[in-house]
Amino acid sequence: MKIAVLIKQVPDTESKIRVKSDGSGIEETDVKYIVNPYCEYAIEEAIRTKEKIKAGEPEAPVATVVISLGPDRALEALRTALAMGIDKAIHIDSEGKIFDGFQTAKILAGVLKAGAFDLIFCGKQAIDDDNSQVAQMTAEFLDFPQVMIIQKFDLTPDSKGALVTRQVGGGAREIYEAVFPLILGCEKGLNTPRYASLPGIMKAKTKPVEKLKASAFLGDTGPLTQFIHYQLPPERAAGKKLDGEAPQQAHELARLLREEAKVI
Amino acid sequence: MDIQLLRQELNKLLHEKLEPVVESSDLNSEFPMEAYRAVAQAGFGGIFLPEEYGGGESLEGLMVVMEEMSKFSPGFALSTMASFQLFGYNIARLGTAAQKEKYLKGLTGEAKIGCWGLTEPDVGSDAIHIKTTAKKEGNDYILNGSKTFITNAPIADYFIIIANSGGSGFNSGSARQAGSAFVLEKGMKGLSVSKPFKKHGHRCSPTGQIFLDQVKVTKDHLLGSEGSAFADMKHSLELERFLIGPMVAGMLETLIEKCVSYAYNRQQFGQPILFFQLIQEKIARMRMHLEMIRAATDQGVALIKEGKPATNLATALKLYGGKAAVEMGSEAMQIHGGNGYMHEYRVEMFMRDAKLLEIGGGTNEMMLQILAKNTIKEVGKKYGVT
Ligand SMILES: Cc1cc2nc3c(=O)[nH]c(=O)nc-3n(C[C@H](O)[C@H](O)[C@H](O)COP(=O)(O)OP(=O)(O)OC[C@H]3O[C@@H](n4cnc5c(N)ncnc54)[C@H](O)[C@@H]3O)c2cc1C
Repeated sequence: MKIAVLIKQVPDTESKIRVKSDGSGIEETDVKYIVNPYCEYAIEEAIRTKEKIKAGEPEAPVATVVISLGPDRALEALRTALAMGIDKAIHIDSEGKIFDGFQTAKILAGVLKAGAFDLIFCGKQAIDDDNSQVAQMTAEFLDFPQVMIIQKFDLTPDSKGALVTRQVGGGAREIYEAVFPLILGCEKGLNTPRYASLPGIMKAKTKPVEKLKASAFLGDTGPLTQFIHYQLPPERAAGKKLDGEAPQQAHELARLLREEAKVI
Repeated sequence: MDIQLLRQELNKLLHEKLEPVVESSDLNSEFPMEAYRAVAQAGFGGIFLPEEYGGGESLEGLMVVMEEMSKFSPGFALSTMASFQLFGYNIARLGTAAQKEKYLKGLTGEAKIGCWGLTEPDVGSDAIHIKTTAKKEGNDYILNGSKTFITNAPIADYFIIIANSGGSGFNSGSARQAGSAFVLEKGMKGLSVSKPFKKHGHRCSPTGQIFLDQVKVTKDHLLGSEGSAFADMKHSLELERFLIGPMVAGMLETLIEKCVSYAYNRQQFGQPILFFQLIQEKIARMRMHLEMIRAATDQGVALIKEGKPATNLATALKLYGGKAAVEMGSEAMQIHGGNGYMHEYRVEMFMRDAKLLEIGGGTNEMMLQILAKNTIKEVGKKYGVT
């Protein structure tokens, strides 16, 4: 079985984001990057699936491959996945370009097709742009079934498909049975991602990292959406200080709440 | 070793397991066992132990692990260091195959805790004159005496004890040639430990006494050869001195972060106190010490790896690092004003922790004495100093 994991490197949620002065992007200096948290669930589920199969049948051929499209720094995210226990990495160099979801899906679909994967895990969305569309579009390009926002995953007894559970409104659950090849978008609650251990970090060094170029898979596919510019929310207006004695302050406060804030 | 990945993954783990208990473990003098377990079992503790026993054999890695732990809690770093370096590294260096197999795997696989006992109630800086004895009886040794101020002793599973085993004919050898190291285990008859001392800093790291009352062990418990303990110790104590470097670097990094963010948010006289030059001077000096300590640590790693003499640098760094930590810990508190005096801001913890670095692992005075002795010997030759 060949299992792929699609991951994205995103700014740490604790980083303070600053927009470039011309609005063309965010300032990357001083930003700490991490593996998108939903992608961590995907990595963990791929490793667990391999471990489960190997526990039953030690000789079973199972390979896990982690794939990321991005600039050179995406290699850090790939190494993290290798240290956690994934076997091999593919870095698709974005060659200095920024792609929309449609183009990203096109590129990933090309790489996945070449790799002939049975099972593909990814995060349900990336926490930087929150688009939540790449996995679905990738599935469409490949004509694979996809189930998103999954919280439970099991192989079918014949290992040719999976039983997956997703939560829908009101706490109800949908349970799907789907056959491979299959794309799954992982949600919080699916598992608890492991820490990379020291032996894992040491082994990561010797694991293969394949380098591909995005342009080779994109062809002449153009974007469907046009990015214009980034804008931060407006600064909060300065507070107002009320002068005078308490009775006057109370009076003025009531007036402002009614006339300016219009809340009473 | 992918140092960047090591730093990132260890930091992630410490952030989740250690950070939430730093304050409570300091206030209640409790060892953060769960965080220790996580660090040990993920293999980070054994970063400098041999690979075949789950280690990483990386000296650069050891410095990074020390620095990252110290950013959160110097006390946690101290206890982890006592377990894996003072105990573990000495087993790795001097132990028999059977000793390594048992104790090193215990440290990494089962998160067992080790300690190393030299200091005694009556013997501190003048360490070679220890009074704990190991008397040979046939194939056995009988140990008697007590140790004090031993990091991890109250919670230890494994002990290295330095004792006087005399020479041929008990107590006849000169003190330096009479030291032998023994590996003991919790539960051995006659071996007991005290409760943790109440102390000034490093409160999450349990420090205590060890009592040896007719502890009988076989030859298999001798570590290294009889009479070689003080000669063997030289190398590991030198490495331990270098570890002050990353420990203080980690402390300074945290203090600098805390000071800059606090001073920027705290306004007095209509502006952030960060804009006052008297405050900036303190931050500049923290940075100065951090740069010097980092450079000396890197140089130490290079010297050790090349097998070149590093005693003077190790000694100088121990002295310089301890002083910098004490002085800068106090300045960081000063920047925080009244808030700095409160536990909540976790600046005074670093100040309390800093003072140990001028005492433990050889006092400032001992470091000065070594530097003076070596320098006078080296330079004095030319002038006939004897
Ligand atoms: C928290 C903590 C953890 C420790 N952990 C360990 C451990 O794990 N294992 C272990 O074996 N030990 C440990 N120690 C002991 C530590 O190494 C000793 O405290 C240290 O070596 C000093 O010895 P002492 O306390 O007996 O002081 P003393 O030797 O009595 O010194 C008292 C003072 O006299 C000065 N002095 C002594 N001799 C001279 C001289 N010739 N010239 C000038 N001044 C001198 C000293 O510098 C010092 O200022 C620990 C100590 C502490 C506080």
